Amino acid sequence: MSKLVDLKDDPTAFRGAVREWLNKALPVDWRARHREDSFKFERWWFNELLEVGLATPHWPAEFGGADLNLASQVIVADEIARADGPDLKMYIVALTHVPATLLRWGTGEQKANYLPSVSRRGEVWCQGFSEPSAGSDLASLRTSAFRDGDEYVVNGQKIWSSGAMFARYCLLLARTDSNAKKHAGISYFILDMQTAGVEPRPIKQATGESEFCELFLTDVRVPARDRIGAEGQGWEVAQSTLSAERGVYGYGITERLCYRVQRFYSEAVCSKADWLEDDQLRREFMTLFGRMQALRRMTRRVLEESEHAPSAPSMMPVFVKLIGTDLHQQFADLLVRIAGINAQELADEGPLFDFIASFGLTISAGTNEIMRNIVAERGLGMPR
Amino acid sequence: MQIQYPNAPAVEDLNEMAESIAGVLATECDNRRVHEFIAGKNDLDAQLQRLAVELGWLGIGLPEAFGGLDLGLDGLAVLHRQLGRRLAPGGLIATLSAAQCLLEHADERQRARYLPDIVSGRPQIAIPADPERPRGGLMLRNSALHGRIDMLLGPADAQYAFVPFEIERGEQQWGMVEIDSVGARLARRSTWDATRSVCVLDCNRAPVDMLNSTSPASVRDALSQHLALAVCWDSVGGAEAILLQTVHYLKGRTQFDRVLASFQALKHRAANLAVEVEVSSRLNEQALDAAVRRDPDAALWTQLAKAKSSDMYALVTQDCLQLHGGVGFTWEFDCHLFLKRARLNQALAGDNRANLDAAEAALAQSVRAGRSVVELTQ
Repeated sequence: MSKLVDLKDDPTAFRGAVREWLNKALPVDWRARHREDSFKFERWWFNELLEVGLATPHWPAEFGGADLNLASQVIVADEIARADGPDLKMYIVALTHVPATLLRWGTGEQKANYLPSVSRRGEVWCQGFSEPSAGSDLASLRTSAFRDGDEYVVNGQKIWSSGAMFARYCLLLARTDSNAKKHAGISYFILDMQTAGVEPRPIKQATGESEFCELFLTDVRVPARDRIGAEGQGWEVAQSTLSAERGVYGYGITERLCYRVQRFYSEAVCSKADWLEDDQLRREFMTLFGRMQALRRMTRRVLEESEHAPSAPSMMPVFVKLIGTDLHQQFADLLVRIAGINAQELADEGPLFDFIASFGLTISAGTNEIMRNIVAERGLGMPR
Repeated sequence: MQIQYPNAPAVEDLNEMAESIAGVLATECDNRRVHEFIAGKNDLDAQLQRLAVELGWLGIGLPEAFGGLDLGLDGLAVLHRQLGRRLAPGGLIATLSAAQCLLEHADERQRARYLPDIVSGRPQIAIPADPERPRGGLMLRNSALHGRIDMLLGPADAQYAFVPFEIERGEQQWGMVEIDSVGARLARRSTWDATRSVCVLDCNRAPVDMLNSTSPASVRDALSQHLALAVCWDSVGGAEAILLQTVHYLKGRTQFDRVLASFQALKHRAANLAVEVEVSSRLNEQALDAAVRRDPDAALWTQLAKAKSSDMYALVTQDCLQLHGGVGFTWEFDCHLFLKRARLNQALAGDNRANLDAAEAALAQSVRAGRSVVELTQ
């Protein structure tokens, strides 16, 4: 089978081919399979994408990507959203944070060793940033890394590491100098999760699922060659990692929401749902519908900016995170009220599940409170 | 005639235009002058009307054939946003909305008669504050109008009112009524937003220049749409201005040995307001793009944008007054002026709940027709 990405220079043909492939490749019962074993399913789907070159299409060809430009990436995200296809949650770090960090900071050896772990072998990566006492105040982290010859010895505890129980590698922040100022004493490492002394323990979430782990690190030996950037430069490197939490991924999430909302509304109109006769619910829905379209315009603006002025400071990604995650919650809340008592039936999908799960969005990747601080401080120039 | 609006002028051109309008208004319509106007100490509304003539603002949305600048609805959006930032007094919003409606729905003679004169500053035109549901009504009997319409937006010295009336057989038409102070009289009402004039129109055997539209409802919808778009951008402009003013105030005032702007509770409130301004701007853009393209869903987006932006404006002005503390409650500060403008904007171009309902009806119709309304060009 010739790779889809060979069509990348002809947007119409490329879009058509992606759509056609999704039609064939995406099993009708994928949701059921996902519910049964989400990790097994995601891994299977990732390999399907890998085979046609759509797993890491935006990566440079030399590291197993297809050099897809932004417009083509958007087409892929668009078509997956349109097909209501799976969201590769376990691969977010591998697909976005790893390249954003390594392409900018990695040594030639690190890039050659670690990028193909994703683009050729489909390995899962996780992030070891937050700690029990370093959440929003990430720079106060206390996990320590002491140099011992060609290695560092790492001790400490990480938390909220998505997918750590399945991950082969971890992007790890640890303190290498406890006397330096808090931002200056941090270094950045690649941690092989199979090293002795690494123990991930899943955290059961409010939804009943376990996507996150605590990560216990006891005398873990990390080779010095796996440090990214200089010693003490970790905080700066981490900014590249965190800046990856924007762009096409946010675009895809928003488009997915848009298709879901449209399907929900169409079904309501066709079945003459009662709530359409309820003035309050109907008007709330329309208010959110308008907000959703405003958000979609913002996600497009983020993409434009990342293409034309990638280093210019912009509030737009912050607005997208804040408004987008709140909007998921607001729609879920409305759907819970529309469903009434029916929403109470325990299930691993449906409006009350979505509502509870939406806190994963409003709290992770910088809580929305931190986002409000950023809007106030960097956007409005209010003092810290 | 189906008017084609020009595609959006280049972003740089629009930005340049915004800057130049902002520059002019910064001196001609600063807040000291607005306060003096309210106190009856200047005629800022008339000054701005003269300025609008001089700088071509009255022709921004009109084709060159009528003496306009042909900058389309994008150009008008820029103007209304800047006027909103300065709480510009006067009837520009009514005259400009009527002009676009005449451009789209009047016949050739009428357009030639009114549009070049509008660009030259006379006539100014009063329109119903809610074109969908005018307060009161006019009847056409023996080719002349009788009756009263209350709550018209526009200056009391407007030369025309653009209004709907019943013709025989219960049908409606729209027309231009000359305010001759004999058959047609316009009297200013006293209303809370002193920067805008609201009038009542009395007709007793008033002659009318009728539009003879085959679809009077589309005349009404067009006027509603143009007024709503103007309100959308006026609201965003005003909200941006009072929010910046408020943040500036918070940065300057110290209590408990700290500047107020450093309190996180206040920062988060300001951030929330900035978020709502941003959402409104983007939704306004959606409405504007759809209107320029003459998209079948343009009315839906305009209704949603008008509801959002004017409600947003009310929320922002309410919170900004509160954030100012005691001085926010005084006549001297600007807070109450923005707040009153916001409450007027909510009531213009239709009640917001009715707007949401109309938008939903349009959405349901598009679903039944198997059409998506959310398509965006990449």
